[in-house]
Amino acid sequence: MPCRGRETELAEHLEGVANPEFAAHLAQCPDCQALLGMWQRMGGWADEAPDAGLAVRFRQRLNNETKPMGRGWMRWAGVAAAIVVSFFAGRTTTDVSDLRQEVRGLREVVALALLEQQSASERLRGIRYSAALEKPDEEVIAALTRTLRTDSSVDVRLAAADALRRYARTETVKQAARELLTENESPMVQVAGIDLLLAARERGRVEQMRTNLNLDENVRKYLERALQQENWE
Amino acid sequence: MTDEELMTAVQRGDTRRLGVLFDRHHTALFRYFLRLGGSRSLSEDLTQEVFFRMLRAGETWRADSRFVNWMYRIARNVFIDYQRKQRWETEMAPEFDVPAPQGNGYEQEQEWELVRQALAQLPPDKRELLVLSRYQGMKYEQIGELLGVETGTIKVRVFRALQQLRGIYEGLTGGQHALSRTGN
Ligand SMILES: [Zn+2]
Repeated sequence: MPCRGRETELAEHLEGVANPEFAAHLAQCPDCQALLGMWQRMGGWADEAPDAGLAVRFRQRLNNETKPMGRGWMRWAGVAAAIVVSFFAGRTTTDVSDLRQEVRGLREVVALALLEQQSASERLRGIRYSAALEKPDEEVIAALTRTLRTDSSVDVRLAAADALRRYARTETVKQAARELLTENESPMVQVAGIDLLLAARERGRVEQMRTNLNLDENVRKYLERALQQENWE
Repeated sequence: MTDEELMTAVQRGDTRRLGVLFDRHHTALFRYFLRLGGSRSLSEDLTQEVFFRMLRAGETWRADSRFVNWMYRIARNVFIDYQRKQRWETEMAPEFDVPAPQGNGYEQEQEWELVRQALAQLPPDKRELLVLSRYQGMKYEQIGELLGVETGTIKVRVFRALQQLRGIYEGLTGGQHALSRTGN
């Protein structure tokens, strides 16, 4: 029985769309019946419920991660407060929309300040903070990019790569991502570069890497799988 | 409160509301990861990860979008990232910790167990499509929105995925018959 062109009708049938013409075909088509049978058989895999403790563990972690008064927060609040003072110093008049603009700007100043901190964990905090900005301006993106390229800690660089994924199509970010591949980088950083370039839709540049004979074996494997996976994403 | 209202409150800093969203959706997400091939413990971890990512990526939430779609978008990314990490750490080892099919005991093998095995053998994109449409109760239109593909294309792809699943399944049950014949 020719089922060519019936794909859509069968799929719609599964979703419950009534179609007498297809129903008539189905009644006398073993192929379509077999597909329908497979669909019904899938229903035999019963639903499982997660562990009851999962909700409890989730709330504990949620409390920990959103606790407002950790020690780190206090230090951070100090930085922020200092910046607030300097930011508003000398202002006499503001209307609400100005203020809103300035608060937005202020957040960016805080992000920039954190990215310049001595400790890697503070810089990580700065990255998280930058990533949470609604619309970071070019300066924040540039600072993140600089962190990605030059930070002394690989962890911080990887976090910066993650935060920059949203802006992967920005020219400066693309440029930095390309450098991660060409320079003498650790394999983890090269992998971050691959992910960034794929996020930037720079598939060609990633494919080019294949020709590099000095490429780390693990990076090469990652590269092949990532390109393959990209085909179905 | 609707999901959308809750998420908007979370975005504005009322993070406790995330607990309500978790209560509403964690079971569906758990099943999603489970059916994509995760073990129970992995599926629980990934489920939690989705919600913490919402907390971190709250800025990508738009109050006028559908929460469930946004949630599945994050869930997909969590799963893809997991696979990448896994791929990195174990190189070319199998992607999931699903127990391997047993060599004997076909008699007790339940039909659903064969369905599970057949699904696990589908290419990931097809498996995902069937999981979303068959088990997560998503409409083709919604899936199309999630994957950025036309609804019509989704329908054709569902058909083909089902066709391939049927082929794999029949291969598995064919093996079962062959086995019982040799047993005779
Ligand atoms: Zn037919």
